[in-house]
Amino acid sequence: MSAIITILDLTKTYIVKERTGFLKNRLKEINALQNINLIIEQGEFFGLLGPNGAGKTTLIKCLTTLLVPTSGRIVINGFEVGQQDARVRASLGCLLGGERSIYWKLTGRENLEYFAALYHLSPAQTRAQIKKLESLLNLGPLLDRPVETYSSGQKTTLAFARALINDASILILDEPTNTLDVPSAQALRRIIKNLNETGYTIILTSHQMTEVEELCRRVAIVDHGKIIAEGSIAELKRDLGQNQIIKIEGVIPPNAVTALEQQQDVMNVATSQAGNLTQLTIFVKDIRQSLPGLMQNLLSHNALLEHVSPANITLEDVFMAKTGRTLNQDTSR
Amino acid sequence: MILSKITRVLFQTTRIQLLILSKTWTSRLADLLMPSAVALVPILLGRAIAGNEAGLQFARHAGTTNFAGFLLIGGGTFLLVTRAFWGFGHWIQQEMQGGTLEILYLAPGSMAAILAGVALAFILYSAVIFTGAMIVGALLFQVVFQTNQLPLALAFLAVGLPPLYGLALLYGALVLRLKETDAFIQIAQWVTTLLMGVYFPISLFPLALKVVSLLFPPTWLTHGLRSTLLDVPYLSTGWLADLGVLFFYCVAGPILGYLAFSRTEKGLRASSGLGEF
Repeated sequence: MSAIITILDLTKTYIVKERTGFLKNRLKEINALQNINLIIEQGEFFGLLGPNGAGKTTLIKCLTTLLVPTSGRIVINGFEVGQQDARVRASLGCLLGGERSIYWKLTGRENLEYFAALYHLSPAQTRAQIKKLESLLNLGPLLDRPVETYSSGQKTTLAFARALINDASILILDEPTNTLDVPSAQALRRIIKNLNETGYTIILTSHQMTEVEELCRRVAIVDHGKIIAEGSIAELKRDLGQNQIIKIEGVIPPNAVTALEQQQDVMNVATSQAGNLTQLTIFVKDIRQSLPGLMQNLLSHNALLEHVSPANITLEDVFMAKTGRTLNQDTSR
Repeated sequence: MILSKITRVLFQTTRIQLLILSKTWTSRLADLLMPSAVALVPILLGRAIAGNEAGLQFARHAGTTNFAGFLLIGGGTFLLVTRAFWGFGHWIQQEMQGGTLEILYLAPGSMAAILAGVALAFILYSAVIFTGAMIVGALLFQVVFQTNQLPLALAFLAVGLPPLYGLALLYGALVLRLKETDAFIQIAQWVTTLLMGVYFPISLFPLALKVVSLLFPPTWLTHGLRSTLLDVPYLSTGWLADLGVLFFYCVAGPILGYLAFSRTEKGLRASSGLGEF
């Protein structure tokens, strides 16, 4: 396999105004991406994982030429971003913004015809491509209806068809199933998987662990603008292989969590809130040995426990082990 | 080959914009009636104050007794200007809010061709709606226009519309950066109404304001239409000189507007990203 996307030392720094008082502003630098290096091979199904504000969208915007990086280099399909932007764009099919990325006043067909023209498809190529997408995504009954009459799932399906209109071999999909119900999401995942099997290179950003685990062969976890872990899902899990996980849920005071973190056989503790309940994901070497000590420690700090269970390692656990946070926590700066 | 691709992007954009316009027919009806609505109050006010003498009083400064026609043309060109501003400003804001602006920037099609396509759609629409609005207004207020110079009036309209889109692009650049339209449109409409002489001849202005007004392309369009359809004296030496000035704006306006727009685009691409709302 050969590299189809190469990202070298990519950095993006935003300069934002921070209000410090009435009519007073201060300029502040935000490092949205810091020295990102990544190679994506042709035909790969690559996942970009991270919480909101981690830098995934900034990275996608740099890849798609919407944003100029502060430094670094990106080569897509042999074309240099920043110098051959039109060719880069022609090489990509992008689904960003889901159902918002189409004209609701127009019919599905009018939308597809227009975007085909923007990708320089001839009328004959346009007709053939629409026909192909009609059968691939089962668009038949939808195409001649105004988009405003579609359901949310149908709009996303049309937006996905728009992303495929130029038949680019690289697809960038930003949270494609976010607004879909379960059956529609499953159907779309099946189509995406099939496209990858026929040779498309796919980059998927998501904060849904199960989706990434189901689809992606390789994953990069992004946090605070840096890639904190990269590899196949099996490799990432294997990195935590010597660890075991206990999930505990209950009313747990902060000093009890601090006490756990200081316990010698505890590798890491990640916390999250679900209503009044605190959820702890505790990484230990050996559950059998550590569990009695953990329980004693929590109870002696007045924790009221509702649920205790061992768990299999998931990608979310990989993220938690690296950052001490869950993926649902917003890290926007 | 490249030219044919650009042309296809341009005309497909025009087609799509006209399709979208055709699907909101109540707004189109409002556009048809707007010039009459703009002219109605001053026409009635003029008749209430000066009665049968209104035309004669008006002719002293405006060069025509046909004050209803004068106001109706003012209302019509005001429609053209607001359509350009609202059309473009709103187009950009709606594309940003709707998420499609980002998608337009993701495609390899030239943004200049897309902008030209949008402008062409609004120009075609405005020309048709202006003609319709003049007919409706003429019937409502029993205005008689001179038709012997109709081709020249159409020439003024054809040369006078592109500079409006140059101004609209400048305005669009502002919307692209500030992501806000309404407050600016209110100000722009007020300034436009004043400067282009919708309700009164610009000869009434003090000298400084008159100079500013003459730098403003819609003033020449409005006056050119009044000169051809109402036999009002031209602003300069004659129709050729007036049309020449408007032609200069027709070339310079869109170029300046596009330069400002692409400069804003470049700045946004380097800072926060394009197409974001």
